[in-house]
Amino acid sequence: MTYLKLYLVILKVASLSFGGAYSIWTLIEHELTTATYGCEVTGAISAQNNNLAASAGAKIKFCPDDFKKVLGFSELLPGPQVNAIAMLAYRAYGITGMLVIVLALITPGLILVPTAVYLHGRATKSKHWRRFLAGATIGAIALLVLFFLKLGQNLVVPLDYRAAISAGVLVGAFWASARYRVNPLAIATVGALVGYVAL
Amino acid sequence: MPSLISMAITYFKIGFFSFFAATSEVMIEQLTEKRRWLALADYAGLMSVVTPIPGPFHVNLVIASGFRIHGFAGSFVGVVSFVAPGFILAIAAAVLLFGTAAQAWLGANPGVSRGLIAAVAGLLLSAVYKLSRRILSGWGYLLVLIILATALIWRHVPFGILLGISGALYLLATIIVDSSRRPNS
Repeated sequence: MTYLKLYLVILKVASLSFGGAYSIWTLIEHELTTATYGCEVTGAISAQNNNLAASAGAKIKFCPDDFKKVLGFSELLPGPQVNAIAMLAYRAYGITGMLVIVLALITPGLILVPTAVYLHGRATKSKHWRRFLAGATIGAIALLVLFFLKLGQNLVVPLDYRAAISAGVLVGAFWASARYRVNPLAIATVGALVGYVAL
Repeated sequence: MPSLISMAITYFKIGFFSFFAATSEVMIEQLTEKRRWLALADYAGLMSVVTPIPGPFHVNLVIASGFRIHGFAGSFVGVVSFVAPGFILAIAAAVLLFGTAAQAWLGANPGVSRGLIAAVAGLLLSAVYKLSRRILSGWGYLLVLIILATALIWRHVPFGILLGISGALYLLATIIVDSSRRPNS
């Protein structure tokens, strides 16, 4: 039952993730990440707590601390981001939970993509439908900006030397990726090293 | 038509080699040049089909190419094989990351997590920048501001509703612009 809830909650996130993998992180952070009793005591929401919550009809949640750790390490993990996102489930649901998350994340694609390819030239050429999707993607950009502001706020408060170094890493990462298309794995490694040495 | 086994091997390879190079480049090399299962123009066409579809872009592209090559079975085999190498690595990474030793080390060195988050924030900003350059113009910027302001003021509005509003507003705006441009008869 809990796995089904986990599947459904991630399926909803995946169905709304216009704008790529970062949208999935944004949606999970906004709707599924919360500090609960389990987070404070053990650092993770246990499967038992989530089972109880799920059976009481509550939403499945992830701890902010786990979320930050997995998000931070996501760029160190090569391959599609779905695997990194699946790591969120490891502490509470184990490897089966990770598998459930991956399946939920690829489900909308498995339904929508073949349909779109099949209908190519018909429904996908509907002007109104394409405009609606373009508008939803623009909305996703706004939500990505919001997620960036949240991440940035945590990095620069309080305003001290660590904030300055973090801001330097952020700007450097942006510049390296946007201007020189440096591999995200290399950027994240440099970020971790700078953090280890200077923060 | 290639067999499902040969598709599984090829997509596993794509998933594995995308560790070391850009996924798109590996896909083009394997599917259009080496195996010749798709023409380059066909591949480009699939890219335009999957772009507006929710979910990770490359995962969707794998599903689309698998479907074009071998129908629904091809899309399923393709995506499972593509994700598998990274999933195995993710299990190892999760065991390591949430292990006692790593937790203690990260607790003693909080700067590592902070540096990683700063790098991820920079990469996120870069993704926003690239996406904006491709998609935004005129009305789009205004819509970004409206949705951003709404999300900041009403923090508990589900994002699904905001995305729906965004799509509807953009559609409405383009319809109004179209009708105002239509010559009076």
